[in-house]
Amino acid sequence: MRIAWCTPFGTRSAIGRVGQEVVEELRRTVAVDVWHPPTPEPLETAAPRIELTGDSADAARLATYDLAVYHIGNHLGHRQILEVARRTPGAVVLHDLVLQHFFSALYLGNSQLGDLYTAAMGRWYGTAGLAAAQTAVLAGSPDFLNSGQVLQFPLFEEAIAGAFAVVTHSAFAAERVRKVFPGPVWQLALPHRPIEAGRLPPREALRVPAGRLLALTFGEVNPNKRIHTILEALAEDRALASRIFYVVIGSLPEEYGRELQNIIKEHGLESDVRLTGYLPDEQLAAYLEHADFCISLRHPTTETASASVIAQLSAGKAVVVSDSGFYRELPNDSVLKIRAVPDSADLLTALRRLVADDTFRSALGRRAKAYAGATFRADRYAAGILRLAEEVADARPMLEFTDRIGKELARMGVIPGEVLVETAARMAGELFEEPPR
Amino acid sequence: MRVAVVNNWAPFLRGGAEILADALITKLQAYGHDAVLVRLPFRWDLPEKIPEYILACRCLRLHNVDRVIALKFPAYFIPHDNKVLWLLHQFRQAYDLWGTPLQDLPDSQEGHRIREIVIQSDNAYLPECRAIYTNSQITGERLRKFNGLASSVLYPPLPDPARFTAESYGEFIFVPGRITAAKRQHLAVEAMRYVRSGVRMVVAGPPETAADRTRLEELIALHSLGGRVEIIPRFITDQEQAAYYANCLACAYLPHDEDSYGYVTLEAAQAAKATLTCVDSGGITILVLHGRTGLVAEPDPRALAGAIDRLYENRGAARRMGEAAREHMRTLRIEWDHVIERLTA
Repeated sequence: MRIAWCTPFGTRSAIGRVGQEVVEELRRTVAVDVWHPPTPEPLETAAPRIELTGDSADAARLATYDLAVYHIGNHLGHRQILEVARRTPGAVVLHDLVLQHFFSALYLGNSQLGDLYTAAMGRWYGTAGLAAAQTAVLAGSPDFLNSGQVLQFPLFEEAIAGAFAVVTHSAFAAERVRKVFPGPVWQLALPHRPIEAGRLPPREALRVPAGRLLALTFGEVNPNKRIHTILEALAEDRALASRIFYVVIGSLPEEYGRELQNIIKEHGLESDVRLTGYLPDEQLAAYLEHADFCISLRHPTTETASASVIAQLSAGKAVVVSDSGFYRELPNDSVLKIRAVPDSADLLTALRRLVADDTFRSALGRRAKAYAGATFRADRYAAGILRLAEEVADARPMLEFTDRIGKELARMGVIPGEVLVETAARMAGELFEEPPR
Repeated sequence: MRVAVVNNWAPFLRGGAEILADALITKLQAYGHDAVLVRLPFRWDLPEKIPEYILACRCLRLHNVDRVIALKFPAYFIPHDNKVLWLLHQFRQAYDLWGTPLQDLPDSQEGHRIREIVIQSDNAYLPECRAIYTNSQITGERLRKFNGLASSVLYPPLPDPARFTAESYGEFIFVPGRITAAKRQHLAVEAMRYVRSGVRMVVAGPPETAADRTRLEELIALHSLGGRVEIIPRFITDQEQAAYYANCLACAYLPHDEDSYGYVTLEAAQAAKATLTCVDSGGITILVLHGRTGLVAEPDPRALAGAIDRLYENRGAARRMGEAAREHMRTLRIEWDHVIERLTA
């Protein structure tokens, strides 16, 4: 069997890194080639590495594999992967359930593709989608990207149409995908990839003020990570804030970065909070090693799983998470969950408990580490991909058939809900039904 | 070349399209091609099933075929990279017959959607054809008007033209064809009430219904035309048919608003016989040029009687018009050489 692993593969790509180890696991039993968009610093791999050129020759070559696995996340960097995935269907791994940022940037950022955005919003969400799209087209981008409304128009449908299978990393995402996708939908636990670092510096090197607990958040610093809510909670309880040193690691979007700096300044939190921006692996590993607990809130929850939270759990840290999506599915005895729409009161209760109770904090971390070690494993992920490849081989004729029927119905002008759609679906179902034994 | 001729199939029904499809196969083979007829089942009497038939045609694939020649809706939707359309007619109920008593499709929301799907399917799929030919200007004009598609006319020739010759210009007008109200044989029979000459008439063909036959028999009895009008209410053999064409004075073919010239007109022209038709008969006048290759009269028994007398009383003119009809047919290139060349180009 030959598998094409199509993924971002730069050294800064979390998706690329997670896949690195899965590729090694897969290579124990099957041939794997890594296909990736051009990147100045590609990750290392023993597998053959092929750069996507974006022309039709890529699609033709990808069609020669038994399965192409396309990793799609909510970032414009996945554009070339999406293009080949549309030409040569395979299994789509949805790293994010919300791809609205990706598709709105892709379609609205190119005047020649502007109509595609409206068409996609209308296709998947009807008149509500069309109305939202019209506003977004006028403004140049959607105004709901950072609100809960984004879950109403996630646009993941746009990335999986025509795929042979979809992989998600949580039950909530799988359930949502199954509502619109007729083929196999797999839920695989995202593997943990340890951060590569040599000998870690001592805690003192991090210049954490003495006597304080180190609280850590890391990953891309987007507004849905609610850093502003965390800062406001610290501002509200200065006594608590004085016992914590809160460090946020990760690239900061300019606007959100300014907003956070303003909150820090306004509440005089300069000595309690540090925004580091992006840090190389060695420094990130040092902060994680010495962290006393982590805070990983999400609202809205847009990803199907979180590599950063998995890293925190695997490192044996107590983690405060939002009670939604992937995070809700974590065991209650291994993380501290707060309401999905966080307010400072909820968060403060959780933080006070973590700060006050060393035993509770360590017990939480121990259980988190045990759970993560048993769950987020590259070998299991690779085994899942191999089973998926077998299922796709079985399901492929049906999916190709239904895709063809769908395209014909669209060309005929038949619209969803019409009798012919139901009839065709029923007949396709009967055609591929298991024969009675 | 391996050619598949694609047509519809309504079991136990056979009409002009079926005759043409069979003839096309025979001629393609005669011209050295491998030809096969592919017939796809179709029922037009269940309107709600029509979109299903379209989809079913789209799901088919013809492999090992170099050229597809498609003839009718919905069989012409079958996908093929090298398909030409020789359009006999679209699903007219969605087009020119919509809003008329012949609409057939229900005048409900569902009926409107079926019509829209038929039109959208034609718009989407017919441009896939590498060439579009129609059997008449009328069919081509309809395609242009409703679908914005250009086409060229390719007139269907007779399946077996050699059968039709002229032996004499006798005493009778020959009225061949399926006996039905739409073909208006009753007009021809009624015209015989008013003729002044000694002309006779032979009406030959299978009645579509018992009522169609009775209608003609009652007219003959009512107007005491028994001595001058003979009804042969059955399929006549090829030999019988050829003999009637060979020895008649002229033919009459009076259908209402047909798309093309019809086989009767073509058979008459091949036998060098003039044809009498009506001003509202539609495509018949492609071949019947008034006073040159036949006569075109008002659809009125007295007017038709005048025309019949004119043919009878001017045998020489009737003969010249018949011979001119045969020549006109050649001018229009209604011949298999031309048809096969275009369809396999």
